[in-house]
Amino acid sequence: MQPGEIVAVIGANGAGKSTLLKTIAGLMPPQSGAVVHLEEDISSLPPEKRIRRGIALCPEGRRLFKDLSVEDNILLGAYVRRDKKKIKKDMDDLRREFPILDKFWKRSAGSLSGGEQQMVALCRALMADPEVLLLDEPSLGLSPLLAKEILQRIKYLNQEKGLSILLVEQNARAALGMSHRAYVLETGRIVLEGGGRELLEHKEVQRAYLGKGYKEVWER
Amino acid sequence: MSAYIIHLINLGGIYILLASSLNIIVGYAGLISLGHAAFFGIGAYTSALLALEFPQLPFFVLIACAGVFSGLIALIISPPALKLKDEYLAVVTLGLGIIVELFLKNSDFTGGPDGIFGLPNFGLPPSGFIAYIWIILLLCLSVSWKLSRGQVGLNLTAIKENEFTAQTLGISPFPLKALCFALSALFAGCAGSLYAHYITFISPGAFGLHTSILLLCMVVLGGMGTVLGPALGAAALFLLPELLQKVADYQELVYGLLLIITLIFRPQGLLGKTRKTKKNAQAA
Repeated sequence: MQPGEIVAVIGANGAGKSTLLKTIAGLMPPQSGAVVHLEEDISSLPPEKRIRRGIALCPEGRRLFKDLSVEDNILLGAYVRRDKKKIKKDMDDLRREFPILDKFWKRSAGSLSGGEQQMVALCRALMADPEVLLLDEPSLGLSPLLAKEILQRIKYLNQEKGLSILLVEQNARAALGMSHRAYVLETGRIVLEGGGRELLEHKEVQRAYLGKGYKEVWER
Repeated sequence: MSAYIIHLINLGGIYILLASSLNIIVGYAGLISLGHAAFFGIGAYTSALLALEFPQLPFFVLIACAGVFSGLIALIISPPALKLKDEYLAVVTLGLGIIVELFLKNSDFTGGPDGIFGLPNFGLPPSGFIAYIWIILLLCLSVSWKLSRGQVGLNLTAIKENEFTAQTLGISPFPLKALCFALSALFAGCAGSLYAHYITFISPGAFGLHTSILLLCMVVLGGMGTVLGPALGAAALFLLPELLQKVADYQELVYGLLLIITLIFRPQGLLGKTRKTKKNAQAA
């Protein structure tokens, strides 16, 4: 991955997309190969050291602390940071950028809707002040409209804040459409790689992940 | 004050201390321990044996030694034990309790099943123990209070609610859990020392599974993870049998029934926070 890139990883269930992200974040040891960041092998670093290096994971299914308030959830994202003042400032900035969360600031995270929870999860990952953001299925279980909003936020983070983003998505069309480069994963192996748009046009990808080229059942 | 009331204040204080110390690991770290009496016993025997070997040691030094030794034992066993989750840790601590009880029963230097008689009480009258017991108790409660708020409280809640997510944020669960486990054992050890010199007699029977389960009941009844809940639970379960002496024949029955009824109507414990409604929990 290059700095400032959005790289999408698509693939079927069980292809190893989440495993890839967990391995990069240090929550699982690599079975082979190495995780390299800034030309340094970080395969043996524990998760907290990787976060300090600027690699933050926003895990699949949001996984908020339901009984804690929105504020506490987001604050926990800054666990590895020690710069109290900057944390305070970043929290205030997030409140301004996400007015919807500001409204529920003191409410328990469990009482929010799916889309709002995804926003909280995203904010929580951002509070680690990352350079590389690993996003695991950010649009999972959201209505098309909310999914679109989340993906737009992600694009914004990339364009305006210069974050590098590794995006794992079921929604292959949207993911490919917004990414600079993309990989297709199948049973743990990269079977295809290329530019996002380029893969969008690729015959195999269209057939397998975008549902094109097959006649719908009622058309046959 | 009658001698009886003073006795209740002392022994009740020791039970409140034990329940509050158990709450540190159960309530704040979210780990079920079925062997808390083992640390109570380790503290009691450490203090008793030291007192007999070195009669010149003052009481507060013995209390500190008992606490530190007990806490150290917890630290030593925590690397393998705390890697386990939920019910597995409960089984391991259950085993620990049984091992410690068997060890106390079968070693010569602990006096075997008869225990140790004639421990020094440092010339303190029963009322003299009140200060020692309640000061340690206050210390334990202030540690609990500290663990329940601020960044530490937040981190512990995160680990308790979802260990995996906590890890994704860079919170490593093990050091915090080990800290709670050690603090919990430390205060149980202090309680052991206080108990040994107050009663002046200890035997393995007092530190068995029965005590561990009683302590866990106290914590659950009062409210896990609240500062004062376990104290209230301990006071209730300790005083109840005393109040029920009039109906001696049915004492156990009433005791059991009250416990069941309370937990049906307040599953979160007497002082526990009202949990979110089911609906909310499912929506999340």
